[in-house]
Amino acid sequence: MDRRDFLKTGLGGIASAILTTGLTIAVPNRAQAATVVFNLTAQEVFKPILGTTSLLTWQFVDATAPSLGNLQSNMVVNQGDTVVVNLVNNLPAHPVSFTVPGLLNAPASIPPGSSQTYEFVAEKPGSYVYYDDANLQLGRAMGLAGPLVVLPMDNPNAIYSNAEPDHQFDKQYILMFQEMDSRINNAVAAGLPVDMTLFNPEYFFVNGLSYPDTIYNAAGVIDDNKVILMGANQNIALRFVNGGLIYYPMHFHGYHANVVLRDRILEQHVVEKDTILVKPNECVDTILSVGSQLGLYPLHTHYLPGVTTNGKYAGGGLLMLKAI
Amino acid sequence: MKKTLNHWLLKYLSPEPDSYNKVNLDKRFLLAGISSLLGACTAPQPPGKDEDNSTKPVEYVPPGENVSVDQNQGIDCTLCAPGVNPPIGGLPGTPPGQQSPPVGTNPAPNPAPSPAPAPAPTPNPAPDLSTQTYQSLGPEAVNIETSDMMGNLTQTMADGVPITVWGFTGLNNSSFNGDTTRLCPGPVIEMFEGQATTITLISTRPHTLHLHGLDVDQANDGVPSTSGYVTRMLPPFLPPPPGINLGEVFSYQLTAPHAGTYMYHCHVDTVLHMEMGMSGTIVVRPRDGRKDILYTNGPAFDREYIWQLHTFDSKWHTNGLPPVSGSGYLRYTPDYFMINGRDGADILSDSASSIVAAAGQQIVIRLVNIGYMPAVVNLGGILFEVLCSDGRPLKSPLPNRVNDWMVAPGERYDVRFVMPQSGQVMASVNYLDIRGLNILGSALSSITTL
Repeated sequence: MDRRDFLKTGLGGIASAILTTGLTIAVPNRAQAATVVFNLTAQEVFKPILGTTSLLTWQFVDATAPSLGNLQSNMVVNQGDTVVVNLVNNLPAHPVSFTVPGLLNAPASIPPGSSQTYEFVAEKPGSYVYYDDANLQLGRAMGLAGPLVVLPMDNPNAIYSNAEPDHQFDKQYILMFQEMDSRINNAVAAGLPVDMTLFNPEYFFVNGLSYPDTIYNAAGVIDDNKVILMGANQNIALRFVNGGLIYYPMHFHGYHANVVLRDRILEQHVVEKDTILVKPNECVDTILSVGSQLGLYPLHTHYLPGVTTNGKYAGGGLLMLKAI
Repeated sequence: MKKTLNHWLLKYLSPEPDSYNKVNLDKRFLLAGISSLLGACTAPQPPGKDEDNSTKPVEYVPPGENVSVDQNQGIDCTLCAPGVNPPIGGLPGTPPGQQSPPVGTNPAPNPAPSPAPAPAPTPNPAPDLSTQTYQSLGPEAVNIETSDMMGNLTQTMADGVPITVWGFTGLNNSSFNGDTTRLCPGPVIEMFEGQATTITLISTRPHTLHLHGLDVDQANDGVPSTSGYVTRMLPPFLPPPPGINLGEVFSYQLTAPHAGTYMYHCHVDTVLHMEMGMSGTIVVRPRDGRKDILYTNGPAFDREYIWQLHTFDSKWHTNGLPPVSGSGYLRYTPDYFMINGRDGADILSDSASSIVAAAGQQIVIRLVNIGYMPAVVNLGGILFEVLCSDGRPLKSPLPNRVNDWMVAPGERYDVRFVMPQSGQVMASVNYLDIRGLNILGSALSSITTL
């Protein structure tokens, strides 16, 4: 039985739901490692921006994965799983590859129309980023990136194996950062040469969404499926995955959070922070202890142009913590 | 020189916490005497010119346990002629591990000191009364006002270009270092752990105070859509911010549980208002009120500096009216690189930014990135300890002192180093692009041993 059937039948019970601004993925708690298969297509996707402008993007599309404006397929597996990725390159004019720093390095790249199977074992718990490396930084600039989370086998509600209580959580969120410079997307769309040294983005996304879609529904009401919804005295895991090319110093209103892992390595020194830097390709697993402070508190990069869309504030990757 | 002395005198007149009850008038007269001796100075600041229009007694703060006594006590070293190091008798031996400044790597702005010794400074048996090198507001009720948003206020850069800025000021136009030509950053707010504090914002145009890192509740968080904005009225050409109009005056209530370094900034149209200068630093002192340790039973220091790290993109400051973010503010590309609102040679003549202290003294710098670019700080080859960040001690100490440290936008780090035995080195703050690939520009400061 493959993983998707597991989800439908709920066999083994739902241990914990991973939520990513409007997208819920249930993760079964299995007793032993399995082989998990993902079928991805690298393809062009025209992405509407603020309902008017449309940008040409490249995305790894998983036809079976739930998608609410997200750019990527969210991969969540258990420690010890063998991960098989069947990739088809449907880009018209560029090669593509599938790399996961820390799990799969120096992968083969494939030309348009070809397919390739990548296989690796998910050994160490924590967050990872996967992306196209066949076009240097252009793949990420166009949107070919996604998060991959490995849950420890002993406890799916913990960041790593044999975790201390402070590193266990009640809920977890994946938050993946990307950004785009429309001059690059438009050059690719027109078949013109691209100069990545000029990359200076004006569009910013978390899980493929920009404010107000990161917080509000279409009626303009705060959407509890989109905010980071927290209960009093809960531990909330926030997995920051940088699938883009710029620094994200993520600032919390209302709380400090604890950095647990930086690229799967336990952080010993700079732990309790209200502003947590996530560099390109870096994955930072954090825990926010809510305590008794309730209310609405923004969470956003302190590179404030990243909280704009086309220069206008507020926009970009503005998130909201909601503690009830 | 003038403004330096005003600052030096003002810091002894700033309000002190109620936990001290000593009045030491002798020291105040002594300070006045020294200032007249040195000649090229203005008259001492008369009483009543501090922030809340009352005369506060000058308080004696005993040095911490491991603090070495400054042989040059009471003399602000920037009053000495540049490049001249007054001799100090009885210097302790070089502490173990102390690195001497590199030779010939970073040329100082002034030539090597002349072989003829300068006249010895007037002996002052009184210990340094305050470790800090900046003005501060607080800890009793702090009143902050906003300045004009209509392009009437400027701050002049080292190249002589006036840049339009918006700012916060304390009452009576008090500012970061007593220099009213410097509107940005705003005044330092000083608080004490566990003490209920009120910060009142007065604004006729839409602004708020976000108390960054102080984990205040929603009502006091300063985010317009969740807790309103402060304004007298909305000019017809400005779109209203989201949230509720709180009126012209609003008091933010908070109690800070952790000593450390924090920021405040406006959170209306934040990307624009913060760039225009609406930010500053908050220092929370340990519960017992000591100003020479970072936190209770924490690392001690002899002198303390604040380095607010930021840049200007001058295009953003000349974009005309109405001043609302939009496509005219696309693609932030900085062209001024600053410490504490000064750039170029102005940093070297800024007593709040250029470090001057006696050999062997422990110096703390509170690094505060109030800008948008990652900043890499290097102290000219002097290795330093990274002790605290974002208002918390590190969970465990770093295994080594460091040569460079990155401070990302919104982050704070409190670092400490020991003054070299002699000489001057050039410290640098290198501002990187947001990809972290290239240095866009640098701010240089100096570290000079007395």
